[in-house]
Amino acid sequence: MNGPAIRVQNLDKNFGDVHAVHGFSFELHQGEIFSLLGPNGAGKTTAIGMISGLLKPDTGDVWLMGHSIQQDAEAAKAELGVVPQDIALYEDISARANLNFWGKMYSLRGSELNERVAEVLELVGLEDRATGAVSKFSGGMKRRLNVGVALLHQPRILIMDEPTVGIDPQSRRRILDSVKQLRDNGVTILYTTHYMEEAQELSDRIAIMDHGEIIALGTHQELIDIVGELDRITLTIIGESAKVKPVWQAIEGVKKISSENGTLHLLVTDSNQILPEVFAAASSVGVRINSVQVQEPNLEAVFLHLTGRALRD
Amino acid sequence: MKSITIALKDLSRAFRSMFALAFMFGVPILMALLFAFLFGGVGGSDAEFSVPKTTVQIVNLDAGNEFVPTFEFENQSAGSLGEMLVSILQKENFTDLMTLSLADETEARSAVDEREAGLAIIIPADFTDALIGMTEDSTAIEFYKDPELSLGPQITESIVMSVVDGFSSGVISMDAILKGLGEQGVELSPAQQAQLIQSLTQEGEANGQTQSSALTILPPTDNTPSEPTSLLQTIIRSIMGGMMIFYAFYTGVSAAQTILQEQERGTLARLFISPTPTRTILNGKFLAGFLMIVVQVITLLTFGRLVFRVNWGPFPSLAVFTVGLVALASSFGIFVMSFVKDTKQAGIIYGALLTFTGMLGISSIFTVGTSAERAFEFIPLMVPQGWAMHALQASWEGNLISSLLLTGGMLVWALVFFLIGNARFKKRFA
Repeated sequence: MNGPAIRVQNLDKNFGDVHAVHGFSFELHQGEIFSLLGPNGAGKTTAIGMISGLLKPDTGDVWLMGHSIQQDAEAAKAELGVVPQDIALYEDISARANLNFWGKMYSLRGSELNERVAEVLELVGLEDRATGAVSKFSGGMKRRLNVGVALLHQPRILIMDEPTVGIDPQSRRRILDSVKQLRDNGVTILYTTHYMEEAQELSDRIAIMDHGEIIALGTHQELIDIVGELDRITLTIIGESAKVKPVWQAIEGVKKISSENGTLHLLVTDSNQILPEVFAAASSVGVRINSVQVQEPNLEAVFLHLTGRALRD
Repeated sequence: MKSITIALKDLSRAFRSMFALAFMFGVPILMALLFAFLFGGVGGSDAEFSVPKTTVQIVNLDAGNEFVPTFEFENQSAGSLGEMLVSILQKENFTDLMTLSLADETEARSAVDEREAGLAIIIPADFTDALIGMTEDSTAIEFYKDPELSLGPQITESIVMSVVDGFSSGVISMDAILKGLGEQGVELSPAQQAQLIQSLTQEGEANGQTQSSALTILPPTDNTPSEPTSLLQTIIRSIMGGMMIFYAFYTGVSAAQTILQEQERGTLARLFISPTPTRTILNGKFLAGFLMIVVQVITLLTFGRLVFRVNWGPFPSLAVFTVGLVALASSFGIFVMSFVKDTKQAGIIYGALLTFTGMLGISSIFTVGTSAERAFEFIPLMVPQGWAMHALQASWEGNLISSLLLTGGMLVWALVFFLIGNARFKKRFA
């Protein structure tokens, strides 16, 4: 098949008066890792729900390897593996029993099922714990098995909804490495996260979401270019921000100031040169600076630039 | 195929849960064992079970009828039906149940008041006249009993009523003869009627055929068609049958509750994301409940049979009942859970609902021999458990026709529950 692996066209979803997702459209090429980046509540999980056929969109449609999720649901779903945000396993039975059950749900049977179960157990590093009840697993082991279930039927498209939330660094690294390996094997991956570093490390392209809409889409570099080569200075102060904002705005090289929950963010051309002037200006209006953090341009800065809010909030 | 996979997975998970196992098998068996120990033993042997003997004082005030000086029965004769009743109660069959002695009315009442006797039976003066239709007035035997005793006096009362029912059958036979004569234009005076009774009785005696006499005394009847059933087995059968039905519905609801549990734990969403149609998933859930109840009911029926030697009735009617119960209990579960939002709500709602409908449905086993018995023949039919209880009773009475009719009713309930529950879940997960 030569077309896009995933084609999302004009999805809308409302829950009562809440517009969860609006005008959502993009295409994913085969073998691409595409990240949906946005803060909690941005609409990522709702979008994933519609793409995977779990939620019915109010308008729009999704095609997976050319199969409409609404018109040809079973064929579309057979192409898809989904790693849900929350662990979705039967904890009172073993890892192997879980994999056997989910394999059957994807029509795997007999020796093919046995082989795939063994391969997946090895892939997620749980061969030694195959017969133990999942309830006895650590959070990281459960996460890995949660990923393994989605890989059983060797899907050509994999959706991973925040798969590294709340796990230890070792399990996280293992999952990120698996994602890269899958991409190398030709699997198309739609990855949602609110961890900027993950999106940055994994993605061929990134879409930034806020309030149910895609506000920016491109490669990592294309997104960075939106804010140019600006550094970000994050400060906390003792005193009124209203007093200090005008004097900082007057400093040459300060491009944008935003404040959020007592923290001030400055986008500046050269932080090394401007920082002494920032301290001096604050002192001149009787405001004391409590802490300072300087960051090179990154996706966090892009999000801040586009929304005026920090990504992690 | 995927439905079966889902059902087997649920079945395997249920049998790993001690909580589920306790309610499916533990509680019904414990209840039956408890009643067995309360009533004297396990194993179905009469020798191990004894109802406390009741001391009975009987007062026979029956004056008889001047035109019928003797009543023949089982090679004996009596001057009145009251005398005949006393003779029957004095027979050896009842000596294990009661110690009977004749007394006058004052003595008898006083013996009960002073707890020297558990029951006084007072046969009225017009007892014979009333039964052979020589008076328009109705009459009644008075049972004067110690209110603190229940089982012994109740059994004695049942025996007396059963014998008197036999007398009434005789009167009905005589009425049929008189009606036949009346249709031919022959009207008999009371004296002539009494003479007819006497001559019929004497003729029967001459022929050595006491059964053809006008007043035929029937022994207390036993409805059980095949195997004899002891009182202990009857009690255990009722209790265990009731508990089995009560907890089969619990299992049905509990099995359907896994839909909500899976929804909350994310596995239902994962099922919906797989290439498995919603109807297959719901059918799998229904099948899981069905299989769990099949295992539960067969286990409990077998346990009752092997341990208590309970006679559940002939196989065809028992099989018909089992199919109906399993279909009804599993569809009831789907129906109830389709109205429930989450597992927190489920616990409260189905706990209350199952307790109410379950207890109402099996209430007939607790009202036997009480004044509410007649009402509770029909009130339980307002709930599905009541239909199941009636169908089980029809089964152990060996009444295949009733069993089929009641099971038909159960299957109608089941179909309605399934269609509503399934439609609601499909709408919810559309």
